[in-house]
Amino acid sequence: MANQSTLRLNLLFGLLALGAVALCVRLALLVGVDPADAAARARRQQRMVVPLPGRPGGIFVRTRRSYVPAAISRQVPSCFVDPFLLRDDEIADVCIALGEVLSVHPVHLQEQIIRRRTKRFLWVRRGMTQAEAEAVLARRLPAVGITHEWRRAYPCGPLAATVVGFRQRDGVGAGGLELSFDRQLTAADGRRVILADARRRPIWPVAEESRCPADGSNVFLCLDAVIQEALQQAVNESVEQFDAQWGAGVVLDPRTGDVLAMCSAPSYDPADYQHATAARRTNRAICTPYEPGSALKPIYAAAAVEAGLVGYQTQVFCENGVYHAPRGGRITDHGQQYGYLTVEDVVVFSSNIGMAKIGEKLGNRAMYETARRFGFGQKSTVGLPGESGGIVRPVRKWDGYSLRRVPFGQEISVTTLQLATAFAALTNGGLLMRPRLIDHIRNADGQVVWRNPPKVVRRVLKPSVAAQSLAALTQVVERGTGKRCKLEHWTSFGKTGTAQVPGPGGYPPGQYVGSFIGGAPASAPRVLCLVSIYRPNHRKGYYGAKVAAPFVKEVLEKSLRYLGVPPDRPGSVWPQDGNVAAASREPSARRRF
Amino acid sequence: MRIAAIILALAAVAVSKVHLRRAETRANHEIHRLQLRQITLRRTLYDQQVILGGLTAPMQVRRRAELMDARLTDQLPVEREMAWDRQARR
Repeated sequence: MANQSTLRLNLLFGLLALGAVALCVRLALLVGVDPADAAARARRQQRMVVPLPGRPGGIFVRTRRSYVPAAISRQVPSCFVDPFLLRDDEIADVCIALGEVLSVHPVHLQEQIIRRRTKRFLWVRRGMTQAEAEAVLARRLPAVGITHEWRRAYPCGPLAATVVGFRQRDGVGAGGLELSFDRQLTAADGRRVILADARRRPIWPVAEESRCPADGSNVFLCLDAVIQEALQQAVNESVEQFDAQWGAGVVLDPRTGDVLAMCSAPSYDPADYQHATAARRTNRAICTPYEPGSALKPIYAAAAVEAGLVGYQTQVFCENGVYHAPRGGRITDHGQQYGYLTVEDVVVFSSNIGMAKIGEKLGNRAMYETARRFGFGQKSTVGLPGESGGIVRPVRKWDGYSLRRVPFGQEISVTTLQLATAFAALTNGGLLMRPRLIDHIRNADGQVVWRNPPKVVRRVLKPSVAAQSLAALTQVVERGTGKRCKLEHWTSFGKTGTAQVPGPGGYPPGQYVGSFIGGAPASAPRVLCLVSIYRPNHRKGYYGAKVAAPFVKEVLEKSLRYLGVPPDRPGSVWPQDGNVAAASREPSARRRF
Repeated sequence: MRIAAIILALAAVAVSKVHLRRAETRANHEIHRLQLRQITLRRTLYDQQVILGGLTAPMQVRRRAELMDARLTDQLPVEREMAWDRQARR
């Protein structure tokens, strides 16, 4: 009997010892073989991590009193299901219930759940209303949850769409400022870590390992919503009226280089970017260079005056309308037969022959340097993606044709923004300003983290030459080719540009770019506007004076009224009609935000 | 006797340490909670500002005025004169 009980005890001890040895071996394996892995697994099992998504920053355009959101993120509820947690007998009920609440097809949803039976996540509906989310929660459906996502919204719709750009559904910036300032706009997600038991019940929040979300910074632009709207309306109208391929426009403050408006037509709605073609999403004002034609004449005339080769009152013989230049081809004044013209009149009446002769005086090297000095052939670093630097060929490739054609805007391609910036230098006393699209960036706390003050790139003209140049441009509107941009209450200045579109092997007939650049008031320029209309239907009109000048006039008048610029035309009083938005009534209040 | 005193002291240190650790964790948690609250409040403020910005946007003002059949009027000449004076003074 005693032996039997001893045997049992020994057996028990043996088993216990074996168990102890097994535990020790397991412990040794856990600790000795791969302790890091074991610790990581333990941490994973003990901790629950709740993501705290950060809000992407917004893009704001200004008005005179406040900033207006052009792109912001709103939190929207989205519904998901965990197919792995659903029992077989629950699937149909859940699908029917979700079908009733969210108007999804129950059979389709059931198919998806069965197809992803072993997965842990399936979207049922992304971006739903708060009422729908509450209805789903009220049903208390098993394995169904509501999460919140940031959804990009564009409250201004297509306003400045090609500048603001768009964000893809996964939150990645894919165009315009959304792309170029993606790093500043993107938020850093936070997380909340909670210590949990083996059944995943929360015990204690682990604050040391938790992190708050960092919302994205907000980008504030120099674009003005009112002027932008006026420009977009004008460019769209011109493109539609003349059946043009595209149109582009820029409005600048020549004193600071502030880009007050920039548009491209036809455009698109950033909220519906999937249905817009790449051509519509292209910002033509910076991405597509074109030959500016006569719009370049005032720049080369000013360069010749600056170099001391001519004065604005120097007489130039314009060959009575046809000029056979030695090794420079045939140049005409499009039916006009000018004899002697002053340099000012060469600009005012837009004589190609007169400019060709000024080009002969300047020489290729000086013209090339002038182009570079005015910023052609190089990007303006305005802060938008896909910007073109324009086309200025190396000077060694310039020949006798270039000598006579570059001064009236052939053999050189510029973007709308470059041309406007160069013109600003003619009208602001000779300073080439860097175009300024971004005013400042603020972080989520409202502190300014980056400021972009106006910057002078270089002086390109003496103030006296710039003043004479401005006087010549004023004459273009008063008695030259730009009469259609004559304003009623302000003195204005401007220059037409009509250029043929180059094709393979020359200039195909009937293809033109009509443009007009104008500004006001001539006494102290505050607004400069350039509108370019590419390949209008030439039967309807293609001259810059027709397809662009009246629209520039419209933009200038609206802008000057809105900005509250006093009339400077002698004897003019302020107009009494009332089409100015109430938002523009207060002229000097500090902007909110 | 001495060993008992040492054990007691060590126990006291251990209890204090646990207590401090608990207080620290609690404080950290409170800080985290307050930071999240701050973010929530800031987002609410941001949303309000965005709504306000949207409502006062010129195109919105014009649209709402059209809907309500209200005519927008320009500044009176006197108001405009005053505005120019203010600009000139600046």
